Amino acid sequence: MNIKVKIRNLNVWYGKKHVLKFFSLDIFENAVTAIIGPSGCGKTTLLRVINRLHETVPGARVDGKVYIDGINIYSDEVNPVEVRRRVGMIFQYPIVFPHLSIYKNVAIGLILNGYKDKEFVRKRVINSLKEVGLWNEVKDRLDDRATELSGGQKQRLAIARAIALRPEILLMDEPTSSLDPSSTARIESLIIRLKENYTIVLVTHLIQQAARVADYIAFLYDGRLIEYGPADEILKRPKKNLTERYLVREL
Amino acid sequence: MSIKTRMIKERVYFFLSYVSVGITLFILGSIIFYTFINGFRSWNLDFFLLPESSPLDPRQGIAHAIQGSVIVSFTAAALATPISILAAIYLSEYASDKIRGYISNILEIMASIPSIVVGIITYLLFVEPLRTFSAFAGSMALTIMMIPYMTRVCEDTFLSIGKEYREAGLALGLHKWKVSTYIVLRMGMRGIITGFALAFGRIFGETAPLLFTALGSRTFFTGFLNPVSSITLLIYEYSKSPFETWINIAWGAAALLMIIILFINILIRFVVGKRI
Amino acid sequence: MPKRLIHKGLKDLSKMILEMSLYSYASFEKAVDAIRRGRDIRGDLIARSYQLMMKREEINSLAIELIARYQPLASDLRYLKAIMDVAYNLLRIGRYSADISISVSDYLINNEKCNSSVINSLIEKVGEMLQLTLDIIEHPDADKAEQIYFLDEAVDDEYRRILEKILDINNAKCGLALALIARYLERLGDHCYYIADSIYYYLNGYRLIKKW
Repeated sequence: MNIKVKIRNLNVWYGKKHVLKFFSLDIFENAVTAIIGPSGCGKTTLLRVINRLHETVPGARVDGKVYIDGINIYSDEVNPVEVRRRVGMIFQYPIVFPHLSIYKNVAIGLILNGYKDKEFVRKRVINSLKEVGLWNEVKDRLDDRATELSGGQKQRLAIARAIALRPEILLMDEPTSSLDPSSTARIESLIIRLKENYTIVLVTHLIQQAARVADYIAFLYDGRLIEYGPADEILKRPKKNLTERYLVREL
Repeated sequence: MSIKTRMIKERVYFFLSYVSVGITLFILGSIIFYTFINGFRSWNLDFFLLPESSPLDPRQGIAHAIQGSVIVSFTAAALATPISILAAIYLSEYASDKIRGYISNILEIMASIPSIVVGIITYLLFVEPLRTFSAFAGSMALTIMMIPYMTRVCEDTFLSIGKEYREAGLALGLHKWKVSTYIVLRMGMRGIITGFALAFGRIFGETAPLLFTALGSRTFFTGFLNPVSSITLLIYEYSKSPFETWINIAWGAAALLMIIILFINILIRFVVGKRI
Repeated sequence: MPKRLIHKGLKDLSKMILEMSLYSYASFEKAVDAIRRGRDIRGDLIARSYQLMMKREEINSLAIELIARYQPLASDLRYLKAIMDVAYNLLRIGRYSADISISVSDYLINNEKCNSSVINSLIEKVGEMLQLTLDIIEHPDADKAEQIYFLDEAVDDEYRRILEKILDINNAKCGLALALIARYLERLGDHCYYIADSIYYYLNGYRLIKKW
């Protein structure tokens, strides 16, 4: 398996708080890596470091190296905006731009990034909507306001918007935590389908979700990586006591 | 306290509040009613189409004042709006919390400067150096009045947009300025329009800032470097005068002004309320 | 720290498995007694076999229910898997005890010339294994589980040795009975080993390696 993202000796601060400590991790290509751990352990911060979103918050500081395909995205020559074009992100709450139609919501990333060919944009939008399984539900109302969609549909729309840019890596921050069980199940199936073409890093506080979709699981506690390995092993035979305690819900 | 006493107190309380509301509505209603009754009497074709004439001339109107108000207000709006929006973007998207706090406070203070003081300042800045009262100076005075108010409204609008939308924009690989203009600004359109309408309504009905700047005129607009009339200035001049014709016209102008302001307010509600 | 939801279920299971292990051991003891004193107790031990089947069914049902409800992981999950295996093996132990009593009844009783002392050593060793097995069911211990593995090797050797001896017996009925009983004892020992293996897996996450 190829390694897509190499994280080496990452230390991240938010103001005075040392959020991630001496963190190193390898993320494999075309696989789902789930990041689990109790609240406040740094999972979301880790995600936001990978697409250089963390530093947009005042008081944030990052030290260490993050290599994507061998290039350190934190080196001076790398433009953070460029990084974010190649790394997509899906947030906890389904975000649709309320002033835009369904079509525009998916197309906006392409349009504002300078893709002028209308045919090309249209094809991409349709493909993305098909990939997330929304096409049949919205094909007759592409010009309707995106706010009329249900929660699950909105989140799939957000995913379509992200993959319209054909990023290599998809970062998902608890993408189903505001959705009902059947929408959650749909998105989980989608994640498994998507990993064929994308490297997916999924933060979740639902251990069961990690059990269902992850190929690899990283367990974080208090800003440190406690254990990392194939999902099967972590779930059945965790080596570290902290991991064991978290999985049997003692933490 | 017995139950009976408590019930009596409650009833008295209700009664008093109803009476207060009644008084308020009565006063407001009376003003509007009286203005309209007196004003509509003067409304005729001449009133809307003819400019000022001698006080003894029965055929005259406020057309020049309407034109003047429109020119001065719209010019001010055209100048103030982009400045306010951009300033608001700076404050909400780029300024640090500390700076934003300072500048917002300054804007608040500026917004509460008495309008006559704004007029005097504008006089010093734009009338003296140019050695003439002018429509230009009048526009500037209204611009100065409009900017603090509209900036604050726009700033509040932008700040109320959740940070998740900005992050979603950044996560798509957009530069911050694109996020500010294409996402934040677009999303805040409704707030901007409301802010604009409210600010515009205010400056349209201002008198003091125009006293020493636009000065007033008997004629139609003759160029930005010349004085110009406005509905408000006209009401001020005519109601001071001893002539009945002019006083009646003043009432008519007052009624027109109220109608216009009412119209702007209703328009806001309609436009903003429709698009959910 | 409030009790985890699954806690009560796990406690109930550990009570049930302990009770089942004692019941199964009692079957073994009765079978040994039958050998020594030539008694016909097959009715009793067959009935006990059915009881053990029901106990196993109860344990399995509860374990499956806990899995469905609480989706346990890590040591919880291994515990549930192990306990279902242990219940099955205890059932087999009871069944072999019943088989022993049937052989006794069929061939040993009224066969005064038949001396069962040749299998005494096997009975002892298997008894030792079973005692230790009961111990680790109540108090899981990886080292003792390994001990059982070695004891099972010893039982296998003893079994082969005894078969040789049985070949020398002239009385065919006697020889048959003793060979069958020895076989059942050896199998019983195997099931003790399987129990030890499950408990070792529960504790460590991987199995004892049996060399065949």
